[in-house]
Amino acid sequence: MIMSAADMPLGLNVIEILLHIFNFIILIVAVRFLLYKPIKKFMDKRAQGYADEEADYARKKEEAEKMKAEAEDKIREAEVKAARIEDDANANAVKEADAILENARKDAKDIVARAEADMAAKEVRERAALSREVTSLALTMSSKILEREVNADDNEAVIAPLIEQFRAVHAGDADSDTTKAAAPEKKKKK
Amino acid sequence: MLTMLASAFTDFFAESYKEAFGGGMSEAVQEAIDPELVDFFGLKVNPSLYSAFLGTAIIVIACVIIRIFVIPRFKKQPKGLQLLLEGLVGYFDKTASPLKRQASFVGPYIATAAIFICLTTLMELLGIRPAFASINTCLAFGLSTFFVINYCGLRENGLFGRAKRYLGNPINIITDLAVPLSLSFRLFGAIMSGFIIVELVYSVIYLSFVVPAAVSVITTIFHALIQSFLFATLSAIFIGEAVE
Amino acid sequence: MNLMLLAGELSSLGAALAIGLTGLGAALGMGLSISKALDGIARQPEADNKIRSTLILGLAFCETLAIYGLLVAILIMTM
Repeated sequence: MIMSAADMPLGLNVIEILLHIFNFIILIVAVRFLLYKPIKKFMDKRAQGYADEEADYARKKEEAEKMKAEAEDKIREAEVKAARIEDDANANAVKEADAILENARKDAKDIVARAEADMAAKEVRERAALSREVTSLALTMSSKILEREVNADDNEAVIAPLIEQFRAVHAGDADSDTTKAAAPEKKKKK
Repeated sequence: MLTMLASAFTDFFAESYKEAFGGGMSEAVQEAIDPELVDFFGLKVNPSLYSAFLGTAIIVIACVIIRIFVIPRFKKQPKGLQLLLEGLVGYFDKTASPLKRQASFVGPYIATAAIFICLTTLMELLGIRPAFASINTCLAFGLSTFFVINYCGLRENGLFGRAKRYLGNPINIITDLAVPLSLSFRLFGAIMSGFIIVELVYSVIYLSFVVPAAVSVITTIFHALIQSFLFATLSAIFIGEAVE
Repeated sequence: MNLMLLAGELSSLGAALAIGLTGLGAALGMGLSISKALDGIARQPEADNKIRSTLILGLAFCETLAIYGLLVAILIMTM
């Protein structure tokens, strides 16, 4: 069975071939279990880890985008609300300002009216004082001129044209003035 | 007279040639093709067997060292040795990936074959006889691939599917039988021719200083890489064909 | 002339013819495939990698024939 190496071309030898195959099998087993499998396992684990990371990343990104959209919606709502509040505030302010203005106008009108009334009263008082003065002045002048005691009839006779003349001077005045001007006359008659 | 002169001239030429180149060329080729057999437990074997055992020992020790010291320190970003190992494993895994179920077995098989062919051929640079400079080694590898092809084919298609391939087209028998022979003779011829050329260069004293540096690049390194790549790729292709 | 000597010389002639003719055929085939591959790469530079790996595979098949010739030559010379 065993052929000697010299008989076969190129030194062919079956036992040697079997030894080589045995050698090769040992080598395959060693490389597979010591080198190939651990490295492959490591690489697969790493690839799996990267895939997981990628999936996680995609999920997180989706979540973040959803949250961002929600936040944007909220911001838009808040903007709308803020605009409404501002409009309301503006309208209120305008209304208040109108009210204040109205009040102020009314006050001003009151003040003006009161001032006018005061002035009218003051004028009446002054006019009365003036006519009294004028009357006393006229009396003194006339007594000085006549150099005598003037009785009531004389007085009437002398003063009446004077007063008539005085009234003619104030003819342009209102009726109320004439009635007021008549009061001192009655006083003088007494 | 003229023939005498001619023979004297050729004799002179042969003498001077022998003087210049040492005259060991044919002996060197003879030694490369048919080396002196060595003893292996009472069996006369080719010294290539010892080269193969040496290669196996180196690879197994390297595997143990890598398993104990390098793989536990693997990082997520490969660098240096880890990058090389991952590149190798990734390449062979990709080559074997079309085989689906068989990939977990075929990947390590072609990886081992490629690493072993590359390493034992490169050992020629150290003066060790390459393991594949013997027809026995090459036939052992060719037959291994033949076994793997048939094993994977049977596992994938079953006995009937495998038989249908041969019954439908009987020429397939010859095609499949030619595969291991083609693989092993290619390996043997390529590595043996490189080995012979290197032996020739070294046998001539004048050529053994600088020339081997240039010659061994073509005959040894180039062949080591190309033949290991070819053996792995062709094995994967033939196994894939059987699995389909 | 010795007949044995003639046979020995003729056997070396046979070895030379074996390696020479297979080398010729393989070289022609390799040249053809390389030129076609270069054409393909020039036309489609992006298919570079695929073409190159296929080319190396094809070259190996061509080379195998030359190696068979070498094997036969070695067998003739050593037998």
